[in-house]
Amino acid sequence: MQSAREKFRQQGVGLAAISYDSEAILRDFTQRHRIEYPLIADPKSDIIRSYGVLNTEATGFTKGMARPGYFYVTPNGTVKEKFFETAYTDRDTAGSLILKLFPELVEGNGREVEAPYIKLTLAQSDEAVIPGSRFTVAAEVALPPDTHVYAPEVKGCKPIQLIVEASPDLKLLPVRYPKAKVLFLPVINESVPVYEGNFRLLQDVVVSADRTFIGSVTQAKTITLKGTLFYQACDLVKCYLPQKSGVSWDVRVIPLDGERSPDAIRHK
Amino acid sequence: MRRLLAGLLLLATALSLAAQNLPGVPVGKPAPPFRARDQFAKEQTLSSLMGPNGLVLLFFRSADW
Repeated sequence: MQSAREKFRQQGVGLAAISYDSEAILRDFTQRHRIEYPLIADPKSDIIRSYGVLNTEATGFTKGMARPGYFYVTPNGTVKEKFFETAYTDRDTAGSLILKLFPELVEGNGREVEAPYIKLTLAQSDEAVIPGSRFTVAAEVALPPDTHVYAPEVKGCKPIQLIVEASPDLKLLPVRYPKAKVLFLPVINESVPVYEGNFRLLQDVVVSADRTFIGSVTQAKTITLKGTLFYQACDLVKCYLPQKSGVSWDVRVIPLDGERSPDAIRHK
Repeated sequence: MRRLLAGLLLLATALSLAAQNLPGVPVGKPAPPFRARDQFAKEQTLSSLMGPNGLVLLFFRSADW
């Protein structure tokens, strides 16, 4: 989160985080976690309500809290993008937000893996996550000039497909593919949906917030996400043999911060 | 903490089934103005937080529990 702040600053984008906590709670948290960006105190939930993100089901000392998510506001004050989880235990990590908002920021952070006919780079929004986090892994493909692979909606050809293996501790959301380009191929006299140049396939992953899993993470542990990228590269005159490349991403799962604010200032 | 969290998680699972639509100010609408203090006791507004290329406003549950 803190390093994400630096990335935002480099992009000229302000970052602030709002909660129903008092200034005292936020100050205490800031000292424990060395936060430098503004945490806005909204103890009466006025801002949370005006943005329409009050968690109306929350009761007891959680009454007044926000649903977690973000708004991206343009310099003229318009909401341009927003992201809210429907389940409020899913916490989108700041790195994952950046991957969504500023995909160019993660370029160059990936590692290249062997894949015939294409350049394949694997990247991820976060190296370390907590139970309940949502993060993103990416397969970035760069194709040579005049080369294409088929998009998922193609009929009768082998499309590019990223299949990540499910695991009980990591829930997978549907892979996000970019919008295809329709290419007319004189050789077969047909228009087909393809990808050319550089593009990225994104797999969102939610770390389990299951009580057994949380209990099992007493110290940081590494989980490996494994998968396969299927594709067939073609140039303007021929197609090469279909290929599959193994892909994997390591992510460290760290225990939840169970520490609360001092008794005197915590939510009652 | 653990027991509390586990309880909230059960609740969340139930709620996630009910909540289908994205909450909050719709895309394309103005972000509501506000004036509030941050953890350094500094008064902040949309414009004081705004960067030259915009602002990301994160809403989070709590720094307390």
